[in-house]
Amino acid sequence: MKKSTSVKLVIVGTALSACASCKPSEQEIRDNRLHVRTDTTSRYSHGHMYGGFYRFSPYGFYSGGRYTRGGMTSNDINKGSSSYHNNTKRGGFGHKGHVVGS
Amino acid sequence: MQRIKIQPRHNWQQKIEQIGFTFNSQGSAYWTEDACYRFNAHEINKLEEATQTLYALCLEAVQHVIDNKLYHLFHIPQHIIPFIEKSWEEEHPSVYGRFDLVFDGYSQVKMLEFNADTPTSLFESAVVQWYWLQELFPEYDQFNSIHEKLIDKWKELKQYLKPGTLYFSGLMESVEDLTTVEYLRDCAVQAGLDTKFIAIEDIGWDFTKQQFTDLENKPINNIFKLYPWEWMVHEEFGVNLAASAGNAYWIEPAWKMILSNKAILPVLWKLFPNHPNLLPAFFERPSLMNSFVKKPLLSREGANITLVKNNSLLESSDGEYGEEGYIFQEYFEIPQFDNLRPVIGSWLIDGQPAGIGIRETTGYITGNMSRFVAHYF
Repeated sequence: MKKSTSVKLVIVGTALSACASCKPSEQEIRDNRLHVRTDTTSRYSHGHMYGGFYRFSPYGFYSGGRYTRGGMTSNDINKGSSSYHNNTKRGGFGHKGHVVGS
Repeated sequence: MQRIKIQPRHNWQQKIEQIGFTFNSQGSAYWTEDACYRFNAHEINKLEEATQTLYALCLEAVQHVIDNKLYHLFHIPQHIIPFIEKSWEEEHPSVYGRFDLVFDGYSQVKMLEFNADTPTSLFESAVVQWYWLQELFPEYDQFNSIHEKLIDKWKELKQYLKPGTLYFSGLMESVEDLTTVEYLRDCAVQAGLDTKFIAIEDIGWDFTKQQFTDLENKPINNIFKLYPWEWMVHEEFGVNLAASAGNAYWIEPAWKMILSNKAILPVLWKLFPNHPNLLPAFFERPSLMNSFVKKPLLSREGANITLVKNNSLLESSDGEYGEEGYIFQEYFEIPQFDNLRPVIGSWLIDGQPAGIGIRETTGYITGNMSRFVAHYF
């Protein structure tokens, strides 16, 4: 037998199916927002959730006429507003592409 | 090896979404149920043996590159070489990889490339097609023990990892990437590991302690990242990787930078000329080679590929890769089934063949518009 005898999931089935079952509004579709249920992010965040979901939307900034993608952000998650905190800097990875898939 | 037309399951879209496969409906149909591939046990054994053989060749090739300092062929920056060598010498943990193979059921299995660093399509291979089999062909087998092998590997690593949490990181914009990361984390949780997710851009660098940190400024000692090494080393924090080398295990390890680079293809061919599972590949196109595939050293999703057959352009793809240079691989006719060309993604978990996932396309290049088709035997 070369197949798994059983396949059970403890995170994915709930966390990611929620991405699909959460129906975005027309405006959110236009804004290209991604919904991720809090199971995915709650372990590293302490924000408030609304209806079981955080809402993420892309952010970035223009500098010298060029747009730089910042990543995905959510007001529902306490990420801090500065890239520096005490002796720590953030944002040094994650700017080369939008999708890794290979 | 046969392609069989079948009746899709009733409400199959709902069924795959219920188990967490959500990105199928976000573009063109990727997972499809109007056909499947049927193998016999002999064919599956050939795929399994070829996968094991190819991985052994790849490990020898890595040792060769390191011993002979061939990093320039891979355009690997100088500053990251000690980090790569440390990860190799200390055998930093490696969990998974995927060979892309061509097979027609009776000829030799041929390797197109090795997705050694950030392979995706893992969830549909390990989980979605397993549930499909259980419902449609429960009396048959499937070359797919990916899920069990992943849990076993994480269990084994529990003794090996550094103290603390195992972080999982990737890009949050892509549901496909997020699914892969969360699925791997799911298996780690089932193995009893303490895990956390952190977005790749949220990773911090504590410049006094010289270590990477999470959002609460706790040190990251173990981290799985679905984010390519070749991107990381060229980003702002790339220069910090070597400094953090003693503090953290990165999964996949840095030595996978060698295997995920297409430069490994001509290196393999030079080391093992005429090996039955390899295709001839070169850094410079031989003058007599008039049918070839030109591939960038670093590219994803079939981007920037050029296929030439008998000196005529057959197909090419756009993209933003190629800056580092190209390799030339001999053109190989992918067998057609119902006018579709399948490429077999053969998974390695912990260095062991673990299963396959088939993607097929009407064209010659398997990219992000290909379709995933389940199999059984």
